Amino acid sequence: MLVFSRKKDEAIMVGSDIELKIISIGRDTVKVGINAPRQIAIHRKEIFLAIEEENRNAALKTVNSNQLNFLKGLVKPSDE
Amino acid sequence: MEKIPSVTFGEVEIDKDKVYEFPLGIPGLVGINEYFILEKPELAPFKWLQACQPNYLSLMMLDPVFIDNTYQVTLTEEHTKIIGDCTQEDLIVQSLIVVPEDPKQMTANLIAPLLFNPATRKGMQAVIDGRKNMLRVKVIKD
Repeated sequence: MLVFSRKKDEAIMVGSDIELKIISIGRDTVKVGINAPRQIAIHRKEIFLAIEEENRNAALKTVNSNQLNFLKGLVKPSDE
Repeated sequence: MEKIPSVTFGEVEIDKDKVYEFPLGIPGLVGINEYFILEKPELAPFKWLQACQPNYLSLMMLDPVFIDNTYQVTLTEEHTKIIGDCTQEDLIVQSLIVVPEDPKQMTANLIAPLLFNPATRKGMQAVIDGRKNMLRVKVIKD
């Protein structure tokens, strides 16, 4: 991993169009401002990891025949 | 038509012309870029995101408006760069559902909806602004 030391108001360029700027430095948090093209998705890493894990859960917990029957039961009452 | 061995439903027929390409894939499901929306009339409104590539995973989905009738995804350039231009009316939005052992406890992922553009046959998983507690929203209210 590339590591830089930066002071408040200093920035880092990633490529020619992504800017990471140190907005403020607190006791145990830094505020980072990001300028990037609109089509670049930017998310907190913990959210991204949580989504990845939830996708795996959705893929691994395959619905079995009992659960399918439960689902059919759910659907019917609203039709009547 | 092509037959594939769905993990959930066994052998199913899919219409090759209706397969969606996910150029970015889906986080956590490495190496799968082709998906089909599998519908079973007796299980509507639930649908399945059926992978068209091994291991032919099938993930349960539900239109999030069934959970929150105000739910809406506003398309931005971040999305249209990937799935192409799409009107809000044509856009198909689905939330992945995790079904635990007790299906009454099933949850929907409302923070990362799947977007499908029927015109371009491209799809993606978006991340909308929201709180982390939207990751597992109960489908069946107590």
